[in-house]
Amino acid sequence: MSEEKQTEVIEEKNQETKSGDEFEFQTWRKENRKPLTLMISLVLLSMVGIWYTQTLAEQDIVTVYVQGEKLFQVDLSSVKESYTYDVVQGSHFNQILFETNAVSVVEANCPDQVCVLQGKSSEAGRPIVCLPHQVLIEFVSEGDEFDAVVG
Amino acid sequence: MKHKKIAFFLLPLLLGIIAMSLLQGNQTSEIEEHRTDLYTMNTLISMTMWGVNSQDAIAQGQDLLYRLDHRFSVTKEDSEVSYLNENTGNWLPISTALEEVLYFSRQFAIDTNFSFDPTVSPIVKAWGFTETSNQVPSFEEIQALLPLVDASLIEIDHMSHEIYLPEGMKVDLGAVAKGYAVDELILIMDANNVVSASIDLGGNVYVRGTKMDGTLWNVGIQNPYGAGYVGAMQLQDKAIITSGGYQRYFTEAGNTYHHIIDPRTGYPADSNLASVSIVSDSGMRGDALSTALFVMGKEEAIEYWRRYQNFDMILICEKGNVHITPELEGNFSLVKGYSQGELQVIS
Repeated sequence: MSEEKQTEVIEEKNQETKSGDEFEFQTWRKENRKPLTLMISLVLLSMVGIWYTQTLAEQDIVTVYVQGEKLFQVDLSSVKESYTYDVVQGSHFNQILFETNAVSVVEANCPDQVCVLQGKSSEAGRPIVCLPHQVLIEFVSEGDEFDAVVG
Repeated sequence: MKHKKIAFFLLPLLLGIIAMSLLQGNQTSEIEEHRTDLYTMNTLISMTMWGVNSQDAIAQGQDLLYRLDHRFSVTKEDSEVSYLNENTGNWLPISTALEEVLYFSRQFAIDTNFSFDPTVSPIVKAWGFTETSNQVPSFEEIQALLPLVDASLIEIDHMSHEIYLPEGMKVDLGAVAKGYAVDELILIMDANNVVSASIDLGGNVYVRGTKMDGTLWNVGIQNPYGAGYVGAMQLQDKAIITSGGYQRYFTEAGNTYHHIIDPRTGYPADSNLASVSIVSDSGMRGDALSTALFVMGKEEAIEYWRRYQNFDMILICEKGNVHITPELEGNFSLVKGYSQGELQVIS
């Protein structure tokens, strides 16, 4: 009996201290509400900022692959004046035109000319492929729309 | 006081940066992402895999694809298929891979009433679709080639692993080889505990698991009438493949001839479909189905589906209407701006 009473007393004491802590926390929160929300929103803002700049940066970068090997990357958004680059592999030849926010193969001596006929590709669009010469120009992020396309 | 204010603004920013780097770091600490692009099997192949052993899986996958190309290529003179085609009229030993694919192709041809046939290649060649220039062959030429377009004449001895092709027959596994490769890649991913993957063999797509953010893969279907897309669906653990006359064709004397030849007539399939997309567990069956069902046309394709109901499909009609199987309802949606037709559920 006496043991039970003792535990009851201890529990009561515990409750008292708990509510006391809570009360202190409440008043502390009231006093610091404005700076606290500001701090939390700043944390969130910086996180969103990082995410945004990262995704934005990926949008317009193309990678040029030749024979499956990565050759170089170009950020199309930073291209001020358009220029061409020649991919020469023996007698195989593809001329790539880099413009502000667009890329295309303007000339090639491949038999099917599929890469030239595809025209300009921009804004995380479809990759340009020259199958006979094994040249691939691909956007770093293929856009959020689809993960894969059939057709 | 001034320092305190600066600290007050800098501290949360710093916290945010740390939190973000932790979030991103966690994703790659154990499960690694590996990606490769390669040119083989006459197409551009890209594979992205996530898993602890994804690097091994990618390496084994690359090996596999090069090996399969060496077996199945009809353009490579030293491939196993070229060897078969040049030595018809004899019993020849073959690899288990080729035995499996040819056996499947023969049975599938019979099952689809020969709207698919792996022996149609001499006629495809006569139309110039595997050559550099296209032409319309004469009626006599086609009639002369048709008797050897008959997969039921392929004989396979499963005990000695030998095959017999009648003299002059040519097999071309272009309509199933990539699908078979998908199935073999699935086995490699199983063995290497790949948790998530997206594989694209020139339009033969396979998506494994969910994406790393837990959402389903969003797979788009190209619009057969021009640029853009018809619709999209959210999938996991499925092979998706499309066949359509719009993919390759030529025009002569005002007529358009597409590349999917009806093996029974020797002429481009007179299909009332613009494209057929198959969603299936098996890459090889899906690959073969997309060709066969395109040749069948809408009514026969729907009838075939009703008979089995163990795959899903999206039929895009010549008039633009889109028919989907009931399982896809809720997963498939037309893209905004697709105005050529409406969505109908097959029952």
